[in-house]
Amino acid sequence: MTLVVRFILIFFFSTGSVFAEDNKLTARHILTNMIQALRTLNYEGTVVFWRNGRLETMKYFHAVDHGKEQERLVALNSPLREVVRNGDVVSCRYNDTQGVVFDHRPYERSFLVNFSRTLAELDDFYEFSLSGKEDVAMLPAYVIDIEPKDEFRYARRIWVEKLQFLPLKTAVYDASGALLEQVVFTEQHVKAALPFREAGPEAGQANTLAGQAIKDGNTGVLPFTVTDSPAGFRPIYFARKTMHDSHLPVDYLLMSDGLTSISVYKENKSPEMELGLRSVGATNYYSLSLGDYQITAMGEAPPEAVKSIVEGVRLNPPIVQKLQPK
Amino acid sequence: MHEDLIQKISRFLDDELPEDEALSLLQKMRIDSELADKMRRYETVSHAIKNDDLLVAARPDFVSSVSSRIQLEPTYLIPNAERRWIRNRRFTRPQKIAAAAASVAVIALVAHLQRPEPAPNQKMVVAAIKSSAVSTDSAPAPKPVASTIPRASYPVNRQISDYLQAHSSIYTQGEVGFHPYAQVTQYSQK
Repeated sequence: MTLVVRFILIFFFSTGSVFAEDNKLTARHILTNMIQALRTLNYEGTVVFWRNGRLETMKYFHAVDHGKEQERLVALNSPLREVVRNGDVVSCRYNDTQGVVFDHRPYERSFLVNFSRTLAELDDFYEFSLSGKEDVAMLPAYVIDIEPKDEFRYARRIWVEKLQFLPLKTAVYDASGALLEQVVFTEQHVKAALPFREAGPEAGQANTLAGQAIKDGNTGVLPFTVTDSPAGFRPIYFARKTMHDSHLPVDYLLMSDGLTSISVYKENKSPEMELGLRSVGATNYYSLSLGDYQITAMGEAPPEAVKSIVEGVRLNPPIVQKLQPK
Repeated sequence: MHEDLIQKISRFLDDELPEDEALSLLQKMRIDSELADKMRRYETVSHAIKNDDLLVAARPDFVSSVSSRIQLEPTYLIPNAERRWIRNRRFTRPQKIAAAAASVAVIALVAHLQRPEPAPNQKMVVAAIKSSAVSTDSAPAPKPVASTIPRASYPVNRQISDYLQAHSSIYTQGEVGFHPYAQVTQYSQK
């Protein structure tokens, strides 16, 4: 008799505590764990990117060793190529030409989900909620909704695997609730260790070409500034790039609210450039003419955000003029 | 049927049975239809084994005859001794309580596991109902904030493709006409 009572008590208390533990997890806990897991675990899988009506299937690898991270994406379909992130440098090697191109991207953390700030800093602009549980790639996952508090950001949903807290799927929705883009793992495996791909000579070269990271919104003297940007968007990176096989530089300023990023480009006017609002998948861009320049803001953000930012651009006097004696 | 008769049939088919015994066997078959049937079956099997490529055509009434044979099979029930044990067995009080407790526990577990998932919050449900856009996800999309500016998609030109790639690593993918990363040049702040 005593044995039976003990059995019942143990059964109910154990199951109750397990469910209670499961229910205590909030969206914030889960996302915090996810950010940590993204950076500290070795994992690999097959991931499908759906953007702009196109599907792209790639093998994904994330290796970490003594705090050093390496991310790799290997395309499974033409054009075959491998994109590698080694710290701040992202390189892309094309199989057919063996050509390697690279870029300095200190502001990006992941090919999958890019939280550049802590969740607390996003509280003013987004609401996080645990909306349910689903299976993705045959793995149980928490479904986290990230809802914007204003019209300058898109809603997102992230499916986070229950045991390892790695993202299995992410989705971006437009203002009407329509799905804009998705990133989905079809399989995912956590490993004790994964090999690092040796960094090519381009890594060192890219570092010498680094732009300027902007901390705490302190931009210093830049060729242009953005006034009256939507709440939360701050400049985080500036670089002068050469584009379109031209030697004329393009000034590039990246603004972010910690989750949504908007790039601002300033270059000489081009007759080919169409002004106004356009979109490519989830990405909207807005161009206008300002003096002798053409300004374009681009990001995975609603049209209101890119329009607001590009209309807030003010050109600064050339630096050389400031240095000239009066 | 006697074992020795079966042996004789087998030896007869193998042409090993002495002539007098073979005659005796054939005479018995005339009056014993069961023995004749057995003989035919053995003959068919023997023929099939010896000739791999030979297809044995089934008789037209093969299926119905098999069905009727199955119908005639007796129904085997639990032996009376076992049924009696089940009927007469007695459970002690602790056994009954344990059984009841286990049943309750299983029911509780099943009920808990089958409870519905947390429903999306009210705001999201309202937003999803209001939204007429088609989504490939079964679950409603997170709450959107209405946009007043219409979006229009256009083919991207070279300039925009460069912008896209500078904006996000993901746009290094195989978009036709997309160029690889724009190289970063030094910006020196003086």
